[in-house]
Amino acid sequence: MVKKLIGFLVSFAIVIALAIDGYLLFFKKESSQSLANSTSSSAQAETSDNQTASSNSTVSQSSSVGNGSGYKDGTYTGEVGTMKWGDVQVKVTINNNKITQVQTIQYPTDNPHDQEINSNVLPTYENEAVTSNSAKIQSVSGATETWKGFKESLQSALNKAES
Amino acid sequence: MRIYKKNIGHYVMLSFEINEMNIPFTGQIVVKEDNPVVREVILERAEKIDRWLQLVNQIFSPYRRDSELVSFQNQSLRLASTSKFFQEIFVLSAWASDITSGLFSAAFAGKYDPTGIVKGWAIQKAEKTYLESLLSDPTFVAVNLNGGGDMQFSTSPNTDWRWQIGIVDPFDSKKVVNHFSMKKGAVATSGTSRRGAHLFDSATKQAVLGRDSNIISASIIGSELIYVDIWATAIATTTVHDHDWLKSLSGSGLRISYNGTAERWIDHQLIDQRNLTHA
Repeated sequence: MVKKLIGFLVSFAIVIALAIDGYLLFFKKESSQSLANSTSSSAQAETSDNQTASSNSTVSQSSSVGNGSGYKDGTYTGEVGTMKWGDVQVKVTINNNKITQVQTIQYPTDNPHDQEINSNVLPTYENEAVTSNSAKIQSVSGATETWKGFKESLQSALNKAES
Repeated sequence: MRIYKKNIGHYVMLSFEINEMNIPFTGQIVVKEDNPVVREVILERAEKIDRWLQLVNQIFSPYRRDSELVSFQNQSLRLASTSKFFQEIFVLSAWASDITSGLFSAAFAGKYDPTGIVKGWAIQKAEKTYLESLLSDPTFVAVNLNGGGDMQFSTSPNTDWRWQIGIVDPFDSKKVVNHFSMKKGAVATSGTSRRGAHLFDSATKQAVLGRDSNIISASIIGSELIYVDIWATAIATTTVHDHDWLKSLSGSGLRISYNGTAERWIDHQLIDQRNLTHA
């Protein structure tokens, strides 16, 4: 019960944080257009993103579109979309539903975690067939199959084997 | 939903399966001990992931007339009126095309079609939101969400667990051609091996067909599924003679051509090339 309450409070906090983030990005559109290379604004964006612990995006109109109520096709210019996840922020300029400019900002990471992520990841060649009760491999990556049921899939066999 | 159990060393791996969007999803949770409370928590997370995937399908299905994607394609919905998830994917599509110098394209037959990017994004978001959060409890050791062969996984720092991951042999789906182990990261594989010509080469404006030098399977290993999935799709449109992409792609990987030429690389460096049919 307490766990559920905490879970609810956490998700509520995330919703609030997202709302604030969205508000800031949407209504600060004048500055958001030019913040791309400004370190202080970027740092701010990063902080707010860490709080929400998820990527988020906004697309805002930056030019005047009549009275702002109701959308009319073909009258849009200069919409700006921003997205951030991990250490990357992406900003695109959109005209008439088409992307006209893309900017990527990569934040430097000194995260010791990255070392762990990138160590020993060169795949090594295998010649053995993987049997379903193999403890050697838990998960397999392959080109997407159309749905044939779990019955025929190697992954499903790996999930189900009793050891 | 059923939970499958497998003992691995001094750990227990509990798995569940979800079918959404014609894709088999597998969630794997490694725990120190199996008990009813742990199973209840896992089932609750599995149901949340299932609901999330249903929402993703509602927004991005090219087959549902009421999806945001179809409404956007037939211009009855403006970008500014779409959901934040749709906008996120729209921005990501532009970025994907930018970082891959156009190898990745979200335009198909003159329409905006982000299908190649949605699955990896949905998996990464679900793994981060619903599975990684389990690791704050010491009973939970590691988590993995695999959707049709693309996966994002994580491990609690103070354990000796490592995910052992295989790359499926594109010439024999019951075999693994490569293997690696990692604590935290992502891997995606793309190709024309199982689905026929489902990839579209934006340079030649033609569907990628199975010529000898074409790529049958491209696997990219890195930290974020969004990134490696974009690159797997991009590399699958190349030929074995082309290495321009190496300078832009971080991380490591393996690609195999229809004639059995396999190449491994890490950090922009080609490590080796061999012929699998003569291995």
